[in-house]
Amino acid sequence: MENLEKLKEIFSEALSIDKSKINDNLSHGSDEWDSVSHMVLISQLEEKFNISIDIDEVIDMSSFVKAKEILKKHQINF
Amino acid sequence: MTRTAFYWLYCNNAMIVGVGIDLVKKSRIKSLLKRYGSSFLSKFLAPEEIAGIDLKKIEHLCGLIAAKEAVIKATSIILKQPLNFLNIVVCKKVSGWPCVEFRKIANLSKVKIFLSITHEADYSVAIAICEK
Repeated sequence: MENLEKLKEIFSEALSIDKSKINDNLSHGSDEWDSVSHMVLISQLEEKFNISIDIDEVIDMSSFVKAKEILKKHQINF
Repeated sequence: MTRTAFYWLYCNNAMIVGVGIDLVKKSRIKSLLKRYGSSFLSKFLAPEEIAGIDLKKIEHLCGLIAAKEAVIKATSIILKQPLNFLNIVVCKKVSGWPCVEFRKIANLSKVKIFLSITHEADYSVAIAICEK
């Protein structure tokens, strides 16, 4: 599966929203993206992309765009 | 407002600058722990918070998460950049009341936080009042 599709699926599952609603405007603090969803999201990203996200990146991951930027640093390309 | 917060404001001519509330569903945290274990907690909680958690009492962890989120909301109006979970350490006074210490954040020295946490059925709720 293409990485972008995989990322959207992870966001969809973690935030319990439809994949069609996931776009670059999605950010932490929206109705669906609360603190517990953020914990689920980080855990799923680590598991499904087989990476380890450090604490600074956990804090920095404040939007869908930021998530893509952080994953690029882990050699996950979009 | 808690009675302690009201008394403090009355005696110190202080001003409430923010209030925050948060609700955490215990079953969400339970399923998160079941699926991923407890290792993810180190990315969100301070070492002393992790050391003090009894994972058999899930409401303790849920109350901690709700408290941190409530403090983030309560302080957001006076900060350009919102706090993150690791800037906030939820501790306990000798009296048993929850309290807050700030980490790695400079401009909160004059801020006082009043915190209250409660649990019922599948939910933990925390409210924070920020006074300056």
